Amino acid sequence: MLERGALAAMGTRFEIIVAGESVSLARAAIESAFAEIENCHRLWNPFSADSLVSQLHEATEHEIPIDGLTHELLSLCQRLESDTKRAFSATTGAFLASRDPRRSVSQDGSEGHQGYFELLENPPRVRISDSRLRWDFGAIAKGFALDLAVEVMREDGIQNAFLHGGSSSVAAIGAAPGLSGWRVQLPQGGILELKDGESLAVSSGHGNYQGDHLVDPLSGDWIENLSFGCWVRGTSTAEADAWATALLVLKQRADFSAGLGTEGEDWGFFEIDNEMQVGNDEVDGDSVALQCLSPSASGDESAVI
Amino acid sequence: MTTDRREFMIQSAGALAGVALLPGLEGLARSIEEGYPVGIIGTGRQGRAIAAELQKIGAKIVAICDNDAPRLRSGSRRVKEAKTYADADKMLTTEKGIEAVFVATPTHLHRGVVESAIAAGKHVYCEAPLAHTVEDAKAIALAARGSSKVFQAGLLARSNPVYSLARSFYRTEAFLKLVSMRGQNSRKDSWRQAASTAERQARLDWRLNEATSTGLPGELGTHQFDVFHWFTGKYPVRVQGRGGVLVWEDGRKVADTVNLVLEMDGGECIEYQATLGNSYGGRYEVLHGVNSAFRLAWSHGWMFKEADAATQGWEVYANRQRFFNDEGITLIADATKLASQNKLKDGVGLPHDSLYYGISDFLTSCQEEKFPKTGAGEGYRATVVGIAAHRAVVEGTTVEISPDDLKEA
Repeated sequence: MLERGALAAMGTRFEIIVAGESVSLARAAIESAFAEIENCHRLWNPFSADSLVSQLHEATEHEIPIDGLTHELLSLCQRLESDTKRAFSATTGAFLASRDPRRSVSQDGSEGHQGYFELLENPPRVRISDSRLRWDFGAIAKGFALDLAVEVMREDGIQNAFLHGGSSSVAAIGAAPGLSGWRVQLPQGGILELKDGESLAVSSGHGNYQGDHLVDPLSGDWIENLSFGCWVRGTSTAEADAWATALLVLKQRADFSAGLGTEGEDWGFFEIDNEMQVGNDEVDGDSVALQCLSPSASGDESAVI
Repeated sequence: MTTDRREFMIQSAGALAGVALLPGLEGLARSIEEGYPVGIIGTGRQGRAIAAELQKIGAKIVAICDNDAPRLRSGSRRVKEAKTYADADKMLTTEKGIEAVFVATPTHLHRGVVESAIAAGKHVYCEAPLAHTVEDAKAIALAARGSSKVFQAGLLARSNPVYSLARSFYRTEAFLKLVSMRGQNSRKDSWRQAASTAERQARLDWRLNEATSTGLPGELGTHQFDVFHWFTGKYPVRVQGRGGVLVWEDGRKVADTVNLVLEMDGGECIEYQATLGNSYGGRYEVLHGVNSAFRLAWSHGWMFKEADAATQGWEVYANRQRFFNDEGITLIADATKLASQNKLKDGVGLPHDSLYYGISDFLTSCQEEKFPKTGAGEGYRATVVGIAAHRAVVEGTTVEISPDDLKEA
């Protein structure tokens, strides 16, 4: 018995599949998980004037109180920026605004400026060194939201579930019925089995809005016409998402001296062509469609997303 | 209401200017002393939402408390600096530096926690409805009245800048005279909680327990009924209710869909519908007047003018939105300032959740030791109406609300 629910948030479509629970309990757990994702949407959606990140962009003071989750996400972004030798950065929003009119430009209208921020604790605050800073959390926010959803579902007693955002960020709890994990088909056809607690992210560099959307945060150069994508498997969806983006940049730099930060992660590249369906994200486009596989009644594997 | 045009222009200009003074992300927070020490009792979804808004305001959350270990862990992840307690009394006796306490436990547990917090000499913010019984709500209101500290009920409309702006128009020629009122709260949500043990699930499912729940009229309606109480200055004298389990047929007895008519002594009526089965339209209140109607949706609000209503000077600056055949004038705080910055965009709403403004008002009252916008009396009366409306649904009948029912003492 599979119970599923879907939610439009963070510019994409989240879906959760719960196996082996009563319908009412599965539904209740899915609702709790979606409440966490909706909260993340309210905080970090760069396209909504009501979101916290939009408010931070408009702030005229340099040291601003923030909520604990945003502090945690920004702290993770700082660490990953360091770990990836700045192949990943959450402060490329001003670059992206130059190609996407839906995004907020800097207060002085300048493009391409990243700026820096400093995190302060007790109570949590962020100090912004440059009012031109524009955050773009992109896929890491989606992964972070999925990690929160997993945490909530585990607390609710769910033992088997499959969660994905935009079919490019995936998290597994337990296993699919009759299997030892959740089997996921990569875009070029390979199959990975995600065990309990594992996550998977894919990135292609293609955007659904005006094409390419990937920029090297170190040089400010746009990375265009990529013919390959990247997948990363790890124990944190947020980190897997950030590394999937970073590895595309590192491959373009031909620099792989940055080490993957989380024990147990593995990764790979795959070829893509221009005709390939690139996820279902509406805004960040940072996706290549994955398919979750589950045995059908005949014993064959069939796609369930 | 007989306000003339000149007076209205002065009033509305004042209202707009007053709202324009309401600060954005940083300004409101700065008016509250940073690091003001507070505690939160109850770290479920609502308690965590309170924590997030407190953090944005810059308050210092010294301690959090919940007797449910997973929820306490979840709260602790979001408020890393806070000490954690499983027992409210222990938190209150240990954390003597806490000035104010936020009570976000299940409704039927409010009374004991509030009485302990008041006895410990704390300012108290209590979620609404205040209680699941009139007896408990009265006990809370009386305890608050006997305290020298601030008590605020978590009815958020009275702190909401959009609602304040609409209310300033309600009292003028722009609205003129009340015709009717309507509210709805539509969501697709089972209200059921998932848990790994039957004992925990029973505890978390208090809203579906007939003994502890005030149903949709109490848990959701109370907040919206208070909008009408605040605008009109009146409370219903009777409420007629119908409802049932139309969607979530999982053995529950508490209705998942309700329809109510709340009648005031002048014949004015509030039609109210709430459901857990469909989310279309979400949550809003509508007040129809002779010259215009207000549609208020918490983060957003609109005024719909009648064709024969006089044109007001401020409309020149107004942002408008189409709703099928109607055109709504956006009621937005900071409108004057946003217009001057060329930022008055379609669909612009409040920069914060209503909770932010309610909490900010409470903390300001605590620091300035002044009466809050939504005191125990308002909280008590709204709770009584919510409980009466729930009873009307359960019994499928009309419940009278006498003036004596609304007196807390």
